[in-house]
Amino acid sequence: MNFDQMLETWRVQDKVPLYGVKRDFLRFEVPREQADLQRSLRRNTWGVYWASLGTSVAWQVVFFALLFAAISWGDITSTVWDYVALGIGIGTILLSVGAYWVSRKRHALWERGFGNSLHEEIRRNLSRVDYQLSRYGRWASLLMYAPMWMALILSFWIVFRISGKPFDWLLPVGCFFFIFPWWVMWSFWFKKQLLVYRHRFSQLLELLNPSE
Amino acid sequence: MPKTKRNQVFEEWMDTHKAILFKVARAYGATHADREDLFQQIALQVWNSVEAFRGEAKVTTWIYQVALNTALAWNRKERKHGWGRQELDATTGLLIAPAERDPRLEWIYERIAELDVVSRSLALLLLDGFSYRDMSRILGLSESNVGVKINRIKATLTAQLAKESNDEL
Repeated sequence: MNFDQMLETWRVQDKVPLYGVKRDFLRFEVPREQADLQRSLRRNTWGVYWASLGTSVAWQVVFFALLFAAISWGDITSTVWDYVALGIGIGTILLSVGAYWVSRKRHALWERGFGNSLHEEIRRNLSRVDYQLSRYGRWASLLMYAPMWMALILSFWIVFRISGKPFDWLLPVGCFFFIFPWWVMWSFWFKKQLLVYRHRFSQLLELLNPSE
Repeated sequence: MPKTKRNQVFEEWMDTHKAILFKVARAYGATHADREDLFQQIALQVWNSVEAFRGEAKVTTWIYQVALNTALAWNRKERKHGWGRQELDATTGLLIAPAERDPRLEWIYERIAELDVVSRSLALLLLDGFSYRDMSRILGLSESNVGVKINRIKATLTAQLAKESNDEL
């Protein structure tokens, strides 16, 4: 076989397809699978965040309800610090939502800046991985889940406030040091997974531009 | 774009250009199960891309671009472990392979599979008669870079063809 015969052999595929394909798959399964995929991506992107935020909000609502119930029943007297604590709780939640929303928007805008070529697609994927890596750095993830930490501290403070004892910082600090190593380990594990993708996309870019 | 219109365009594209998806899936998937999985992924991405198609490029070029982008980002092993969708060697019966296939075509695919993943894209585009300009647009490389790579691929394929002819003798 010479090069021209090779081209001729290759072109036969346009008349006689390489495979048969289930027509129903193309008609019905593709749109359905696509919708499933979008749902799953949305779940992965937002799920953990909203779950932790929802837990923090629920936690704060319960503890502050207990505090204000105790005040209204006359068990304890209201002080300005109760409202300061409530403000801190709500503020942290709003800050976290705002920061996450802005960061997602900014990154989505950045991603749209890439073109459609293979080179650009790989760069887009690489930037997506880098964004994930920046979110799952140890300190970044601590900040992302700040409402959770704040809810923990505030709930201890409220329990002490209702019981009329002075607040003991050792308890929330102890909890923090108990959870922190697990947090770090989880972040490292996640980072390791992402670095595999990063390495692959970097290799692909190198293959495209060996001189770079 | 309404969903029915999108489905209609997708069906038309698939009727005319599904051979591109077969070729890319065959070139990048090592086993039949891999090819089915990759074909499925590419079909999903093509469906997804219908809305973004502005008619600035030919449909063939567009579908090739989507198919190659998907193939390069695709890794079935990671998908399997990530989402646990199916066993690696399990076929879905989506692609029906013919009982007999031209051994010369099989030989070409085997040689393509020996190339690195980027050169595989170029080999497919070369065999399908794309110009250097189109290849450069699809891959995002300069035309001169495409030229250098294509020359290397041609030299490799020609050397293997010569070796094959000598072996036949």
